[in-house]
Amino acid sequence: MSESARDALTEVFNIGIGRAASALAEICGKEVAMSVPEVRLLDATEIDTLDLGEEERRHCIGVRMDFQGFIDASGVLVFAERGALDLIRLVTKEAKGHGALSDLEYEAISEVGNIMFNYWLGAIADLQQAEIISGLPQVEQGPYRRLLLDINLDSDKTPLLLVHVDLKVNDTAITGKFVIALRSPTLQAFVDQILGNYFGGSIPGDPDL
Amino acid sequence: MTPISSPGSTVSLLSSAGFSDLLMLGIIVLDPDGRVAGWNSWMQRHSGLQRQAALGCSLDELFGSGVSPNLLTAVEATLKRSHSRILTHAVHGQLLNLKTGGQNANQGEAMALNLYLVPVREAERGVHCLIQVFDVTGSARREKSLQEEVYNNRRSSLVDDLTGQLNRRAFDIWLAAEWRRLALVDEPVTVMMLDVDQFKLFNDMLGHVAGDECLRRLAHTLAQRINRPGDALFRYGGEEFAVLLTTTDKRGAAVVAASLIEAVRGLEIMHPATHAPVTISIGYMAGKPVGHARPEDYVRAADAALYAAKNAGRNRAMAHAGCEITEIDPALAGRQAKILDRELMD
Repeated sequence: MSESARDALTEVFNIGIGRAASALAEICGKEVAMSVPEVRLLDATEIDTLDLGEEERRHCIGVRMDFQGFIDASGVLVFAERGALDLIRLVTKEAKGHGALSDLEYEAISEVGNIMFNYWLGAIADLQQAEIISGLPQVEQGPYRRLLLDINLDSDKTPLLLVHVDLKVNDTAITGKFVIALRSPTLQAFVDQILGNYFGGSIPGDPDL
Repeated sequence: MTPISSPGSTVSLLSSAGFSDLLMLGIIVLDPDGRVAGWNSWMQRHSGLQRQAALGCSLDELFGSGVSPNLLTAVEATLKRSHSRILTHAVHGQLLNLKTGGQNANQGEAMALNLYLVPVREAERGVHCLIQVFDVTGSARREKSLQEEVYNNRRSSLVDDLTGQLNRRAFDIWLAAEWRRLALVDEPVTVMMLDVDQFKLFNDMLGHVAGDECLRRLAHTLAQRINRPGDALFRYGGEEFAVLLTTTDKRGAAVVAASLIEAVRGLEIMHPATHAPVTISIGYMAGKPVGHARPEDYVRAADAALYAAKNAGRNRAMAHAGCEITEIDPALAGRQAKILDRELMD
């Protein structure tokens, strides 16, 4: 992706992240600050060689959702750091760190992921004046790499969109990261449409895409 | 990918009593205007509202204040924006006023629910909202009792049984946390060690029951004097107590130390050996948690000051400042307290 395309995509996604942050703030009763997202678009070969650094094997929790409409996609929102789970405990008003997560906490995680996904992608669809239907969320645990990349699709040639966001809950020590991964055969068309609208029809030259 | 949209007859099927009554969960179907188009027997049983009465009404009309505004917002998002939503008891508390009781819905306790909202679209009839209602009362109850157990265990692991004050374990946790916090805001902390003078003799002469009673009364009195938020009293072990004073420098610590010594003497618990009221000795270390200093260093310094106070004749407080130990004149500290009060009044 060219720099200007990436900047444009970041700006559009950031509006969605802002919506997700205010939705989250509403249910946890505290202001939630989220960073400008770091956006990456990867094709099949890049996915295979993707370096996830130290996070690679870490055990994480992800919320999977499917979408139809403006984009037909499978997605997962992975809470990449312990801090993100403290956020869940804040939402459920439970004492911090009493060992394993309970059933109710899992359900709360699926709700938090569900809300963030809906608001994020919903805001992007709104900007494009397009419609998007979301499916119900499913929580899954596992190593970071598998959660992020092992999205059940018809073809493993499907490109991947990664959106990294840092979050911080004001008035608390809670900070964390989450990553949204979206895979779809029509990912390129989705990105092109967003960029087309952003640049008013023509997408600037993009040799590396 | 799993298909999200549904075949044409889904709304009729879900709304039909024949199908939805077979399910062991609540089924509500709302039409594009948010009015009930489907209501299964599970819903009848737990809401006390018959299907015929529910059909055509909005959730608002049916439940009034018994429906959470969050649920109404989510229904709106499902109908207008085709969002699927899960709403959990863990996040929202009560979502819909349903009862666990069987035939008579007025009996039984309030049900804890998880709700799954899915848009169901049909070409001619528009987007409907299917709500699946799951009873999670059992797990919510189990979770609550587990939480209480954890809370009680945690509490009892931090509280001293005899005096009801925080214990040594709590002291370590508290000190480490306050140390980090005060270092960040660049404020001083005081670590104070207190010891009951000649307590072994008291115990030997009057017995352990009297000794325990003495510690209990003493702890109660000390705790009353340490009442600023953020400050805390701990039973460190035996007849030794510890006090943490946050945002308190040497001068403030001297005032508190004098007040504690005076309060204990004022209790007039007679010592069988000295025929005078029981007294305490105090050693403390005050300063900002900066540089290489660690919490343990402050405890060690306060301890050293305490032994110095004992050696100097007991019933007194000493401050540890680097290696120099200064005795605090209680009368002077008392005057300082008065001056401080006046400053605060102005």
